[in-house]
Amino acid sequence: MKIIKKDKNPKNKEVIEERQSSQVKSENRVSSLKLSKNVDENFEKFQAFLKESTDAVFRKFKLGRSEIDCALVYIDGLIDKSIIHESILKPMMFEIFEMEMPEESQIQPDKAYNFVLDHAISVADIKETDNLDEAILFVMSGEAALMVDGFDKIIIVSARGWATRGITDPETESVIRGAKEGFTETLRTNTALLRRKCKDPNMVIRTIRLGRRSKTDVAYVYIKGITNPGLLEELEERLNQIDIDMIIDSGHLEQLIQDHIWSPMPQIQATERPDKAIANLMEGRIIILVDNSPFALLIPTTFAQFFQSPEDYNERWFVSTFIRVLRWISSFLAVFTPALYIAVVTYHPGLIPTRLALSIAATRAGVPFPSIIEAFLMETTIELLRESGARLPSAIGQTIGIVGGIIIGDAAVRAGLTSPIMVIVVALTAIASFVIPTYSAAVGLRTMRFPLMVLASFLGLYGVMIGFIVINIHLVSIKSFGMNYMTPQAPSVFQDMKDFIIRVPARKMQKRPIQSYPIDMIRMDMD
Amino acid sequence: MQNRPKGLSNFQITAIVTQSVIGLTIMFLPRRAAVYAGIDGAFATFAAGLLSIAMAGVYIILSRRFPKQTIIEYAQQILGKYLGLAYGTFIALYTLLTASFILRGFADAMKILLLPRTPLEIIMICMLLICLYCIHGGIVTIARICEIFLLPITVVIGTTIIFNLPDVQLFRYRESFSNGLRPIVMGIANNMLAYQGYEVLFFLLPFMNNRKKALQAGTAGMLFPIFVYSSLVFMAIGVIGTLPTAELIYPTIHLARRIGTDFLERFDVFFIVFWILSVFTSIVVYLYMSSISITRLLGLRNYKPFIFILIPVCYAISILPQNISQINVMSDIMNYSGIFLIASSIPLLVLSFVRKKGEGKNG
Repeated sequence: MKIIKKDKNPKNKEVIEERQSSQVKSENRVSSLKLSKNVDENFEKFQAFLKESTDAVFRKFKLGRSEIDCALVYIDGLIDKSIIHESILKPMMFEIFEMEMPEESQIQPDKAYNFVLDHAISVADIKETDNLDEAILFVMSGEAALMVDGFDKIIIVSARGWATRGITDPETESVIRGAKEGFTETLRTNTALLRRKCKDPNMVIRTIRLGRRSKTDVAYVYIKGITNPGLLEELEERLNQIDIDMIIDSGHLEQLIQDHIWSPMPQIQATERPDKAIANLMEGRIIILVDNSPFALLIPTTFAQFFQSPEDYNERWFVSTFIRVLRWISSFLAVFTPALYIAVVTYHPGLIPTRLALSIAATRAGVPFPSIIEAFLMETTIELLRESGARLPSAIGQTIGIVGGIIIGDAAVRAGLTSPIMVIVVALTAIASFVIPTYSAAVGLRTMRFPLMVLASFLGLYGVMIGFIVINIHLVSIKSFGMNYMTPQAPSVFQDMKDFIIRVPARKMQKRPIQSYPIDMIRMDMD
Repeated sequence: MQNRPKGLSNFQITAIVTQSVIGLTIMFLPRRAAVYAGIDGAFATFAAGLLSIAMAGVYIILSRRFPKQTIIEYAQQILGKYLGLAYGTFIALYTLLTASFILRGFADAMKILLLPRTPLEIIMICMLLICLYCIHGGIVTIARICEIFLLPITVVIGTTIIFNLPDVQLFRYRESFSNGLRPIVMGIANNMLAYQGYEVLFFLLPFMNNRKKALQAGTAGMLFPIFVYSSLVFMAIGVIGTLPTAELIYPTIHLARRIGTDFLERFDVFFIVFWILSVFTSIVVYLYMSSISITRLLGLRNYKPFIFILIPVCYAISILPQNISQINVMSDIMNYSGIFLIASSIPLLVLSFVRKKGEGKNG
């Protein structure tokens, strides 16, 4: 299945060709990308690319008694200076004299390169390259390039070290019982978090670079022997088809590789939690980590997954089942409550108990608008409050909550703009939508209530039902990486219903769910 | 992708059959049973259900002899080209007419019960538009919609039956089987038509992933409708009485209305709302059958363009009758066609054996 099609537009092709030729031109700034044996020439090539940037550091020095020319290039801020000082410059500039103490052991210029590699640099992670392009990419990703006169090779010393955020409690998916660590912005830290949880050597972390300019590291993690190879192929194909200048975040990548671009529902789950990620890995899914993004992507994703939280598996089955039921009910409430209110009040007042109907009618008597206007007014207000609360610092955010919730709600009723029942409906909708553990799914569902409200105002309950049917048709027809979105509901997979609305006791979940078609189904041997 | 089954699962076949059988008829079935079979309505419905299961079995056995084809193609093999084409055209028209009839009946019921001031046209157009969306997704989407809606429909109908159970007055059944055989036979003949919908089995077999279980899956789909229909008729006659049931337009709604409580005062509205789902699936299945029939008659594979032609035609047919007597004419045409379809399947099966067409049992 090809999702991201190469654009066959000839005009586009011209643009691509032009861009490629301009890239060639920029490379022409240096006479050739081939490295020479002269360290000065190589140094100048580096400078041709980087001297306009003030954060690039160029350092020339001489090695030992025979004064062999050496040069060091790195980007300030991306490297750990102590490694540069203690493990590169110090041994090469001073300690080398001690090694050369006997006159005859002076380093010959033709052996200088190997001597540096074998005896001077006390850093474990060292690479060699004879390609200037590659060397520049390494320098830009935070490594130091070391050149020795007389050799057309560059030593790449790994001295990465930049300011990072510590591992903190994941903010969007906090749990009461469960690990309190979340992914960070650094890819290496994130892969380390995964490795710490699973020591299986079959857990493969592969990295590719995406983005013509940003060269963002994108790692995908899977377990050989569980993950379906077909899924892996599909993912690799989609990743390879991406031709873009920059990958900003995993949310950006998600939209480039998802199946249905027009759908309001997220088809790939994002998570900040390493424990959630690793649990999904064990179910045969693939994790995608994007450098600079604390959100990992889990593919494939089903709708039911949005209602699962890591806590469900740490609590007893009865409690988890209760919470799951609560979440499913709340998802229905978040989508349908305002529409049902409009339909019932406008078309079918007989549906509600007589006394309640009378009191609703009494409170609505002073309201000058039809219920659809009333509902739109209040639903828009609550969305405004939510959005402003989310963007503000938490201290002010709380104030907004109080101002919005209490003052505006109460004042709107007193001013006769809306009925108290409507305030209840709106509050219920908002609270219900926050019960869904996955933010992106909650937002997708919540926005559906506006078209439903319109339908309800025109056709009453029939309109709500039409909306319900349309949502269902959409959900059953979409796929995530070839996996049906609504499993285990439709198509029904009775075995997977163990972890659907009812979460059966852990000892009863002996097989992996077949949602992602893992090649090894057995999770637990209970013989 | 590896080890991924293609096509429809057995449960999906069951769901499609169930959902296409349960539809419009559930609303006035007790009336029909009471009118034709009187007090023996429930028995007649049950017996008609058993006969329908047998007919569904015949359909499946016939289809299984031609596992890669729908009835449109294999009718031409069995009956010869021209007669087969005529038979195929008949099926295409019959399914289209049934879809239109269900749509009209549905819109009328909606107008009477739920939306008295909304024009029929709006109700119909909205329904047809969502049908269009669903059929456009193909048989896989239809199957999933059928299975996903199975649960809410079961819950609502089940609630109606269970909560009416204490009110069944058994004395109403004192005179059972006292009217002789004639009303029972009449009731069976009429209620056979209430179970129409399993014609979809003529079209499903090519899409199944496990054809060996087709017989079990298809007939299992009939069990729920039989249970629901028989018990609804039993409830209606036991709770409301034979004569009132025969007089009410929608006796099932009456049953649902009776169980309203303080919390949910009018359960009947609830019932109607979920009944929309089952009508929707019935219309979708019939329109799908019709569009695929026309496509195969013309020897084409892609049925999707034909939906766009069929939807306006379906709308035109369903808006055509001006009053109840014209609707009854339409209903009669549909009933006779239905009887012809049921009756013709046995000669088709016999002919397929006699002329040695088809690949045999397991194909």
